[in-house]
Amino acid sequence: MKKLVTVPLLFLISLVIAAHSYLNLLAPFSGSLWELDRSSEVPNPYGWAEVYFDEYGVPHVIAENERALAFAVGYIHAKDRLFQMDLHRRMMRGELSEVFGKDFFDSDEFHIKMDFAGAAEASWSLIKDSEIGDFLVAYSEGVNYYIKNRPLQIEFKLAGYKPKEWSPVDSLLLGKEIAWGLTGNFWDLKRALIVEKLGERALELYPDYMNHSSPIIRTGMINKSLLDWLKPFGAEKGLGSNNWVVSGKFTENGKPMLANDPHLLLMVPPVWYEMHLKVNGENVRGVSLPGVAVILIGMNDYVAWGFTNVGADVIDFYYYVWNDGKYLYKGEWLEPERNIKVVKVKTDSGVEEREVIVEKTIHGPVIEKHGKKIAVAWTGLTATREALAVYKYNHARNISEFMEGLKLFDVPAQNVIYADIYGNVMYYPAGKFPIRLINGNEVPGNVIFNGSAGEGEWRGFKPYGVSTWEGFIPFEEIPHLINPDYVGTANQRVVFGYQHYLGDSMYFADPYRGMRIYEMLDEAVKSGKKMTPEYFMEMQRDVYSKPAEFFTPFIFEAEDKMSEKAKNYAEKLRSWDFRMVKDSEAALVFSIWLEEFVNETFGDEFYSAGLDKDFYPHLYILQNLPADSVWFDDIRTEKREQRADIVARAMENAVKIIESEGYRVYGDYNSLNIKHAFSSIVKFFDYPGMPMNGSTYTVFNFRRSVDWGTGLMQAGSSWRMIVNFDENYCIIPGGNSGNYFSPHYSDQLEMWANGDYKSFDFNVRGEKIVFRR
Amino acid sequence: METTRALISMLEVRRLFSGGDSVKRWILIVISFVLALALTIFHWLGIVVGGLIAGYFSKNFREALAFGFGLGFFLFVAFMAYLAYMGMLAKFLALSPLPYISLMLCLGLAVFSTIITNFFSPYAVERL
Repeated sequence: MKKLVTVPLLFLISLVIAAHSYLNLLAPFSGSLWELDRSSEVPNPYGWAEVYFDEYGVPHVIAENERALAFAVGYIHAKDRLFQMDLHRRMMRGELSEVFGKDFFDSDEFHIKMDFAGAAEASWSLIKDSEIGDFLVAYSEGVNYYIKNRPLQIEFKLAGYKPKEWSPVDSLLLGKEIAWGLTGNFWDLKRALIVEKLGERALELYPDYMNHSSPIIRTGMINKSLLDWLKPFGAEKGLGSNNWVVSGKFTENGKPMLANDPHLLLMVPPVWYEMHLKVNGENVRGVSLPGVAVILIGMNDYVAWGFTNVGADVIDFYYYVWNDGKYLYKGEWLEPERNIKVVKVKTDSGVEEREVIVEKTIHGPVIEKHGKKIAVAWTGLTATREALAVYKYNHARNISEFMEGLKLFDVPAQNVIYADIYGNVMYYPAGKFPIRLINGNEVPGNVIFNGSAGEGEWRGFKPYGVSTWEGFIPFEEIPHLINPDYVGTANQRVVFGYQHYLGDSMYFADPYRGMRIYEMLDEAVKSGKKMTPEYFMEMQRDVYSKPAEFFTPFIFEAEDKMSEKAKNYAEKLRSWDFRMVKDSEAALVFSIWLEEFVNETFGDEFYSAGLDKDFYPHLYILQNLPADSVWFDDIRTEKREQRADIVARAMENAVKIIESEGYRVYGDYNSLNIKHAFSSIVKFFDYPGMPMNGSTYTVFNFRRSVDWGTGLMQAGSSWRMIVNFDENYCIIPGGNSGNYFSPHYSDQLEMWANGDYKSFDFNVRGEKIVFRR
Repeated sequence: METTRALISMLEVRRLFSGGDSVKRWILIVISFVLALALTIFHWLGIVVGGLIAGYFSKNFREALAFGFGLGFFLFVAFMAYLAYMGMLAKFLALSPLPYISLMLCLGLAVFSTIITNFFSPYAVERL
């Protein structure tokens, strides 16, 4: 019998040993995967606070003082979004491969070489003694209390690691991340490569400040391999946002009205975390970045504000003459500041240590890859004060207090719109805009500068230190509007004919959304009908495609060159209202045709020169090319093609795609697919898919495919907000909680997709957590 | 095993089975299930403890096997009922393949545990 019993005993022991970690994770009831934080009381070293989670899981935080509030905010950020916070911190610190494996080493190498953490430390040194210093310390303590005492999110358990302690520098580092994501643009490098590969004639595709005879543009300083390596880490191409503000003269309640919807990558959980904070009897509500304690976009009892990205050129690149590890700078051989950082990399055979050399010149960090070496100057790589600026927005009671914050908003340069209860409205593109000089003359910054000659330097800029900013456009000289009737921004060029260079056409978005916003605002003003929040909702839901209006005549002109089948498809566009709605067949045909038209126009020249579609010019440029432009000629054929030939060819291609894919309507093609960071391993964290209205160029913004270098992602309105101080509305794409089992994991997704809203108010309600000393 | 036996003897549970009183034996089996449930809420070793007790009171190997599966399913169904109550069931089921692994682990622990103590059961009338 003893012999027999050893068999099941051995099986049991083996099961326990082999599956020990799975048992701890997945056992019914006690598995850590099902563990939820249900605590209703939390000790707070700074005093009393209460957090009420409303019907959408939005926390309403009330506290007896600022630090008690910050501690509670840190706790709830960690409770709902700790994994997201840690993932982004790891990315910015170059610590992804330690946990997620060697595939992330390139990302780590880039982020370590750029030393974003060093820049965040410089920012912390600058602002730690200001009013936000204690606030950020208390916030970090709240995060750390959660890390030490509460169950971690599922993702940590599946990835098998615990987060390190949070610090104020981490909060500032996440601020650097969003700034880099919006302004860390490698266009200057791409432009140099385009000139090298396609010749200066290609610059006609990238107008404004084109520099046909510029001696600055040299060849051989970069190559496609370097750009391919950098691609995943740069600003997300094609992202944009909308905001507009209307004076009380044109609104039904007589108060100014403001709308904002920043377009960012759509992710699980969403970029933003919504919250309402109340301290000393004053309210502020809006969205925060998980990991950053303040409301970035929102309103308080007195003022409301919103952002879109200016898109200005706030990054430059420098090449040098190198010799024996030293670089030439204004006649002197200088030793770059050099450090070696060790990166832990998780591999199949265990943890391996790899060295990354971090080099910095007088201009900034050096990126060396594929035999090319350039230094990067970016406005965010110095001590910046945007966290303090936003803290001041949160507390502003009027336009002059808000302006105090604006002056401190260093990065990322943002089109800030403002409204207050006293009837003021404002548009101010806040940020630091560098002025580049060569021999005392101001030059555009869309080139690679000769760093050895000291060309194009930013005076008063000190990487990883405290800058004095004297070589930047003074705040007062930045073009702005105080109390206009109305203003709308959609990442289009700020102003024409401005004395300083802000960026060439590739730094700014196609003007279609901007045109449409002004069209709708003008229409409302002309009609004399007072604007309401419902009108602003209609505007944010607007799916009218300006490109469709401009491009469809090209299609009808080219029908003679199409096959009967293609012609039939083209005819579907005749009675179309140009609205990109999910059940429209015409929107499907146009959308696929447009993609093909762009490819058929530029693909031959660009791909044969080794450049991919990432280098294509704006759609607006294509729209305005003459019908016999050389760019319509297919260089692979004998014939000299004209626009009509390419239009027809694109329609033939579109028909093939539609039929082979079995698409019936636009929503079959334009569908939502928002992914979690673990999507390549497990799908259950992803949000449910659904057909979508909207496109890249519509105000109701949805970009079904954004090539981010690391794969295809989607982008769109990451937050919709409408404020008129009496009735305010908002929505986020997903849910406020990043906890998979939370009822607020994706409870706003369908509403967001349908263009619906929820109330954006200061009414405290819902389940409560109490914080006590 | 000796400890378990001594404990059961001390509680005079053995007496309940004299004369082959199957009702009382079933009561003890049910108690072992309930005990397992109570312990499992805190740690997965509760499944093992419940299985060991249920196996001890099983008449034969087949019954021990059946009780093992029964206990495993009972605990898993109770867990799903808890998830349903918490509004988490649909999300749990969507976690594929994790729910299957959870079920397999639960059944595995319960079945091997019941089989082990059945070898020591003084109430076993036959081995198979």
